[in-house]
Amino acid sequence: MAQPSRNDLAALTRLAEENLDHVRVVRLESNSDRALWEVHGAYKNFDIRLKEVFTRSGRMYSYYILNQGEVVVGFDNYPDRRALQQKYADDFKAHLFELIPHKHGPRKATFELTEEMTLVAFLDYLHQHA
Amino acid sequence: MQTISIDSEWAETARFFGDVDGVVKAALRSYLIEQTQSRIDKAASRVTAFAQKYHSDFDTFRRSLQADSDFLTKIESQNPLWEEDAMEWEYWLEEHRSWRNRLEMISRR
Repeated sequence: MAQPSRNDLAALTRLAEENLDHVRVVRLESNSDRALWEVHGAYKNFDIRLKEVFTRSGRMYSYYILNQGEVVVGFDNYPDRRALQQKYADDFKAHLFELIPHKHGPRKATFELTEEMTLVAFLDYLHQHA
Repeated sequence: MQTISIDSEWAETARFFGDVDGVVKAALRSYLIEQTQSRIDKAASRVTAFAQKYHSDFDTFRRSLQADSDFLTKIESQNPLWEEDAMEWEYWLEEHRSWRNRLEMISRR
């Protein structure tokens, strides 16, 4: 699978800069096989944490809105037990390496499966809900 | 096989140390090993940092998150954004494995 180039990652950073304040690039690594991009920023009174990781597993992402260190809303696709069980019930062991898009509510007390999220979609969500 | 041009001054100096082709190949091999080792060290350091943070190796960590809801609850209470770490941990493990393979390949030649 072709991984994003430095230019692609720079475009993600520009998108963050256009939509958030105090943007800081925390991690930026890329080569032909994998890439890692992490940016922190702020929106109104919220801290925003953005991360995309490209490996053989595919595109993993984590977009979180925090308020004073606590999760307000978070989107990611990491296949933890909740995600696996909600999507596959008792058959979850057959899907351990599948990425499962989902959303966490306040303090991660609620959970729901979602469509795959992109940075553009997350920023739209942020503008509409925060 | 690729042909690479080098400055004639470099070639002249290389001649002091033997056959130019051999000197350049040895220098390049040495440089690649050094750079590759540096990538391995960087990846190993990140992998170790995550292993220390979560008191676990990655495979056990991942397996526990998927099989043990008590473990997931505990991790989440201590590190609400553990997903960020898990993704990056996987990245550095792949990076480590890939550069180690490359080093083995270079070292064999």
